[in-house]
This record gives sequence, structure tokens and C-alpha cells, in this order.
Amino acid sequence: MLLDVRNLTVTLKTDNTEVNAIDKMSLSMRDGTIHGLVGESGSGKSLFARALTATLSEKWQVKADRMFWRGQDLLKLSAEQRDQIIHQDIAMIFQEPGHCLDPTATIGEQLSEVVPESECKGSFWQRRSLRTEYIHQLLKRVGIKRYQQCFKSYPHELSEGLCQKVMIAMAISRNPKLLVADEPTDAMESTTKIQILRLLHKLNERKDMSVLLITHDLDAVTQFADDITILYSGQSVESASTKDLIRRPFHPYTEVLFNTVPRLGDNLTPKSRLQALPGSTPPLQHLPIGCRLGPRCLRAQKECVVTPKSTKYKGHVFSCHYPINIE
Amino acid sequence: MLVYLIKRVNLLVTTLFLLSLMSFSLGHLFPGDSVINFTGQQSLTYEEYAQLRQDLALDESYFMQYVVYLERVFAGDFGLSFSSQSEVLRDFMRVFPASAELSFYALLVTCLIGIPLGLWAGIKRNTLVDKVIFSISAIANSIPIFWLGLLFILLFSLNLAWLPISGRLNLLYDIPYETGILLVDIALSDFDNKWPIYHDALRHLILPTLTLATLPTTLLIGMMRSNVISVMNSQYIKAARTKGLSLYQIIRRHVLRNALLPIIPQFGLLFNTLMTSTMITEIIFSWPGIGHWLLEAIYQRDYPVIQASLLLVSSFMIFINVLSDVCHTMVNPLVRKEING
Amino acid sequence: MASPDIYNEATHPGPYMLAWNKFKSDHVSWISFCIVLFFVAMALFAPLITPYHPLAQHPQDVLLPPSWSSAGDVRFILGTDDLGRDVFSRLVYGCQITFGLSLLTALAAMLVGTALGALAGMSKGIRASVFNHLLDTILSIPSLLLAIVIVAILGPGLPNTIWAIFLVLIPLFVHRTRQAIQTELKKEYVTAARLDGANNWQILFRSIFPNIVESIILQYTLAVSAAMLDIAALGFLGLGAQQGSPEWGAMLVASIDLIYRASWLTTLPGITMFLCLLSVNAVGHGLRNALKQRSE
Repeated sequence: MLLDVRNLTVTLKTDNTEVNAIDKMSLSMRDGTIHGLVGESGSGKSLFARALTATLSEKWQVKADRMFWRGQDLLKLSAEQRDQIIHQDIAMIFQEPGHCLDPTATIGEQLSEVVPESECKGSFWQRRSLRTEYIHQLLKRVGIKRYQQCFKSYPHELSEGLCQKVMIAMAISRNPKLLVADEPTDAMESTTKIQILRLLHKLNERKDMSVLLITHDLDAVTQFADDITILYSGQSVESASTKDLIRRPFHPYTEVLFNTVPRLGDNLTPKSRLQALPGSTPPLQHLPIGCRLGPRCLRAQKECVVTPKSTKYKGHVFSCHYPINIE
Repeated sequence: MLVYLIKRVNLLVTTLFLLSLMSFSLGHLFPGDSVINFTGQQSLTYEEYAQLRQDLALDESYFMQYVVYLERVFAGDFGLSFSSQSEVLRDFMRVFPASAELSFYALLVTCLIGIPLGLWAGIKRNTLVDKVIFSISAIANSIPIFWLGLLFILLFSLNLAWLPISGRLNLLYDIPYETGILLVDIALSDFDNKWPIYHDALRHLILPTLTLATLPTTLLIGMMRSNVISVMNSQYIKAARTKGLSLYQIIRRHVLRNALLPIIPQFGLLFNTLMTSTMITEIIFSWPGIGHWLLEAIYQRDYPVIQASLLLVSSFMIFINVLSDVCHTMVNPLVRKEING
Repeated sequence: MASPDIYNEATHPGPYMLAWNKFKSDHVSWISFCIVLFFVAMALFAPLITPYHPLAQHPQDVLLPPSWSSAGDVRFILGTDDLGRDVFSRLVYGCQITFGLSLLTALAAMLVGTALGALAGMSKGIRASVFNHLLDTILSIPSLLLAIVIVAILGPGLPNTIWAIFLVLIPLFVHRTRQAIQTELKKEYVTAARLDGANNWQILFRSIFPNIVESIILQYTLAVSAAMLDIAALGFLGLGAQQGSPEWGAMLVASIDLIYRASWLTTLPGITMFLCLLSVNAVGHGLRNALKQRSE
């Protein structure tokens, strides 16, 4: 088990109120897989990534029953030890990669910051060329063909897709165990999107690097991810392997979510309504108690004001009082 | 890039043109006879007067007069000063180094204090350090400079008697005028023991420099602080932190450059403040510079001097403005993008 | 039918209310706003507050120190100057001149400058470029130097100083307004309004003005403090208010000769002016913060 998080709660503290933006969420990830974390916007996906990498500001409070990283509880370590592990093993890429690169430095300069010292051993006049060579290798590895030109460019001279590739190059320079990709293909053209996702897939296969793919793009997730965890309003809804989840969802939300994507061959009558849940995701100030899907759920009953316990059944982990597809 | 440069030069030329037009019209706007206002010659016989009037083309159209005026300006002829009856340009060149020297030291102090403090406050945002720096700079920003000068004199010269009240140097030392920049002149002079002279000159420099530097320093701290804060909040700094760079590395590699770059075009503004303050500071500390010279000229209605100094000082300011703008474009890749794209 | 969003019971204050609440919640800005109001009251009711006429001389009580010093006199709370004039009365009347006139001058400059700026901002092509160059020229000249030149043409004296400062302040407002309009014009809501068929006037008054009012008010606070500094500086340089007038700068320059014997003549006007400037600047700063937070 690479990552095992149980009952993670992230609390936003303002002057007089406390809101659990993530409420008792659980996620476990196997070694060397691509794990999709899916949810609507505002469901706490990015927050989870930032809680994991400990980059939240002081307003946020993180608590969990356990947060095991390769058998070590991250929350029990001191801040320095924890930072060290995170910096060594976990890398992260973001949405809007163009904003994540220093606009006044060239790509080469920024990449050379992250080249590990071990890669450029040698006398100091050799170091520079070694470093450049290493960066060229990195750029080649992420599929940038004109790497020499890219090396000298400023971020604004590159396309979003190229910027994301550079970010990935930066992320893999340290050979991390896990790459957290926070909506890496948001607001990108579909061809570029597929390029990036294929690249992540390839890196996962060849370098044995696990990827936590955070996205709201169901197509991408079902195509590339091995396992999926679905998040609704800060609560984990269901998680299972991709095949199982599509074939037989247990949680009503999962079913609705997959049905919102119209598919070819579904025999939709023309101009019929697309499926969707009534209402909208609740804002942080007005979270319902118990199961947060409650007010919108078609199967909700009296019991749903109590937070359901997560149940394990046939390889699925889900939290619902009235699951579907179970006899 | 070339188009941009041409645009800037075009701006410079037009601005200078308008300025010269303004300065030219002053010759007519000032009370009194325009022949005398333009040339500064006061004791003229009738024939000389008629001759000058013809030379200046004063009987012809304003356009011709302006052309003649421009010719004179390019030849460096700004007429004579009413009070000293010497050439205005020569007087100007004589007092300019003193002002330039004072401004330069003040600018140095401004940068040395303003940039580190602004950086510090910006990084430690909303902590005690930030609040202290910010409050002090806000308070210093509101002190009228002429009162500040008087306070300094009252405190350090009169009550504590640490520093001299006014002037550039003790009258005991007679330094010959070479470049007009005092510290250089001392080095060039043939006194045997120069250290006491340097010591004295520096003692005279402290109060005016501090007075002059206060306002620009507070402005610079403010600019630097807000730039640093906005850079620290940007996505790429957050990304850099997840890359595992230490705070020091982030500041040195990313924050400093990104916060300093937008300040370059603001240097024009900083210089503007400095120039205004210089005039007042020179009056308070009897510093023989441009401000002092200009004020004397106004008290004595010395119109050629006023006219010339407006043109010269403003041209200088415009030049600095355009220069800082061009420099900014040269070094900031983001602006280059806007121009090229 | 009941409102569909049952969760949102809280009312949402309008943008101006929001900025005002933000401004009030910041103690420093709120206190300085009160101080500014206090100064305004002083300027308005100067004759009622002051015990003496600012120019009335008391030959028996020359150079009395402030009343808290042992040599002071309660009749003259802040002491007297070398002609036996009451410093307190002079400071209050000085408030009328330096502060009151700055408020009015800046207001006049704001009205003229904003109108010109709106014209400049909405115009395009040759007209705009001529205007830009003219503006750049004027803005490149240090404001005090420009004021000095105008005073040199018009001759010294307080009325001429006010004219000069009025003329100097206008370009600042023009610049600010023009820039604000140009930024707004690039935004999409203006394009949307234009696509709806709004003409230039409608766009200017309905769409743009409500969005730039704050930045103009902000510029006003800056202009007030600049005007105060310039009036006092010109008075200090002997080009503005005449010697003997209770203008703060003129009072300061008169005190230089007496700086050995009567330091309170230097410190008191200075402190008053400093306090006034500080509160005006703090109000401006608070306003800027409130607006910035609103836009976030």
C-alpha cells in the first residue's frame, strides 16, 4: 500500500466558525497505479492534494485517524521530517501551468533549480554542462522535441500544453514515487489533453511512478485510471477499481455521476432530458448534516441525517445507508 | 522592438517639443519686455535694443520667433541672468553638480534602506515586523519635508550640537571648484591631510541627505512591499515551494527579481519626488544647488533663469522617465511579450 | 412561491455599503476619518473656536511659551509669537487656509480633471495621442516646479498659489480617470453593453462611471494631501501666503529666525500639519484597502 488515508478531516477556521471542508474522507492507493480522484468542483479534491503535501495555510487544520505513506504516519512526524519525505517522494503539478512558472526566468534556469546534486557530480566547470545535459534529457523524456529552443524560452512563449510538460519534467526530475496531478488538463484543448494524459500514463508504466489524478473529467479518468475514488462535498462516496465501478456502482451518486455523461450507443431519444440530480452542490457555509448528499438524493430516508459508515463489499468501499445494485 | 524604440523616441521628441513651446511662451507671458526676458540684457542702448529685436525676429510671426528661440536653445544660449549678468547656462552648470551630488546620495540611501525593508515587510506580511515597518513608513510619509528639515536642525544641530546647520563645508577649507562634486573636488585639491576635510564634508552631508531621502524611501518601501506581497501570493511561488526549494532560495531566485522589475518604470516618479524635495531641502540647509538658485531667481524676478531652469530640469526629468521605461522593457521579458505580441 | 435558495438568509450589502463597512471595521482608518472630520470642523467654525483674531497683537505678551510650561499663561494656551499673536488662534485659522483651501482646490480640480479625463479616455486616434503627449509633458514636470513657474508668471500671493495648485492638480485627475476608463473599456462587460447597442455616453455613464468612482475618490484624498503640501511649501518658500498670514507653511518659515528662543513656534504648526496629513493619508490608505478587498 503506497498511501492509506483514513477519516481525514480538514477544517477551515474563521473568526467564529469552523467548517469541515473535508469530512472523514478515506482513500487508499496501491503501488504503481494511477488513482483517479473525481468530484464536482468545490468537492475538496484540490484541498486533499494540498493537505497531503502539507502546503495548506494556517487557516486550515488537518486531522486524520491515519495518513500512512509507505507504512509511515505522516501526521505523527515532525514538520521537517515530513517535508523531507514529501519533497523526496511526492511531486505535484497544477492546473494553469502557465501561472506556475516564474514569468521572468527562462525554462532552463527554472529547471536547473530542481536538478538534484547527485546528477551533476564533477568538477565545477563540468557541472554546468552536466546540468544542461540532464535538463535536455528531462525535456526529451516528457516528449518535447525542440528541447533546445524550449530551454531558452520564457514561459509566456510556450503553449499551455508545453508548460504542463515542463512542469511534469520538473516533477519527475527527482524520480518521485507519487505524482499528484491536480486537474492537469483543465482548460486545455482535447488533443493537448490527451497528450498530457498519455504522457502521465507512459511515465506510470515505464518508471513505476504512481499518479494521483485529480480531475472532474470522467472520460479521462475512466480511460486512464486503475482505481477511482469519488468525492462529494468533502465526503468520500465510493471507491473501487475502475471496471467494477462502471459496471456495478453501489452508491446512488456514483450511478448518477456516470449517467450524466451521455455516451454513444445509449439510445437516447432526441431532445430527451439528460440525467442529473436536482439542486446544486451545497456551499461551505450551509453544509447539510449527516450524508451531505442527503437533500439531493432520490433514495434518502430518515436515517440519512446520520453520517453513514464506510462499508466494504466486493472490492468496493462505499458510504451509504441505502446502496443500490445489492440484493 | 524597433517599433517600440521609435515610439519612445517619438514620445521624447514630442514632449520636448511641447516643453520648448511652453518655455518659449513664458518669454511672452512674463511681465515686462520680451526682448529683455529672452536675452536678459538690461542696460541696452536704443540701437542695441533694435538690433536684438531683429535678431530674435520679434516683429515677425510667432512661428519665426519660435524657430529663432530653438536655434538659440540648441546653441546653448539661454540669455543672461538679470542678477549676475552672466550666462544662464554657465550658472546652471555651476550649480547642477551640487544638486546632482545631493540627489545621488539621497537616492543611494533610498535604495539601500527602501529595498531591504520593503522586502522584509512583504515577506513577513501581517507580522509585527511588517506592521512596524509599514507604520513607520506611513508616518514618515506624512511629515512635511520642510518641517522635517527644521526638526533635524533643531534636534541634531541646536540641542545636541552634533552636526552643522547648513552649507556644504566649513569655511576654513577653501576647496577650488573643479567638477562641482564636492567629494571629487576634495580628492583633486592639493591639501596635505584630506581626512578632516572629508570628515567635515560628510558631517555636512548627513542632515540634507536624510531629509531628502525620507520621502522617496517611504515610497520605495510601499512599492516594494506591495510587489513582494503580490509575488508571494502568485501561483509560481506556491509551485516553487512544492518543488522543495527553501524560503531563502525562493526569495533569491524568484521573489527579488519579480518584485524589483516593476519598480524600474516607477523610478521616474521617484525622481520627480526627489527633485521637488531637493528644492526645499536646499533652501533649508543653504545648499548651493539648483533649488537655491531657482528660488533666488524667483525672488528677484530673474525671468531668463526661471525660463531656462524650467526647460532644463523638465527635459532632464523626461529623459529619466523615458530611460527608465526603455530599461524596463529591455530587462523584463513580460513587457517584451506585450510589445511583440 | 418560496425563494429557491433557502440557505441564503443573509442579505448582501451593495458594493458601496460593503466598502464602507470594510472601511469602518479598520480602526486606524476610522480614527483618522474622525480626525479629518475634526479638522474640517475646525476650518468651518474657526471664528467660534478661537479666543483671538489671528492677526491681533498683544505687545505685553510677546513670545510666551505654551501654557503647560512654567513661564506660560493660560490665556494663550499654545503661547504667542514674536508679535504677541495667539498661536492657537493662528493654528485654527491656518487650518482654514491650508486644509480648507486644499479640500476646495482638490474638489475643483477633481471636477475639471475628471471631465477632461473622461473626454480623453473615450476619444481615439489622433486626438487621444495628442492628448497623451500633452499630458505626459505636464506630468513629467515636478508639480512644485510647475506651481512655482505659474506663481512666477502670476506673481506671488495666496490666490495665485491656489490657482497654480489647481492647475497642477488637474493633470493628475485627467491621468487617473483616463487610465481607469481605458482599463474598464477593455473589460468584457463594456463590450457586452456595446453589443447591446449602447452608445458612448451610455457606456460612460451607466457602465464605466460606477466602476471608477472609487478610484477617483482615492485620487481625491491623494490630491488633498498633495495640495496641502504644495500650499504649505509655497508658503514656506515665501511664494504663497504672505509673511504674517496664519498659513502653516508661512508660520514655519517665520519661526526659523526664532528657532533658538522659541522652538514651540516650529514644532506646533509642524505637528498640526503632520497630524492633518497623516490622517488624510490614512483615510486614503484605508479606502484603498477597503476597495481592494471588495474587488477580491
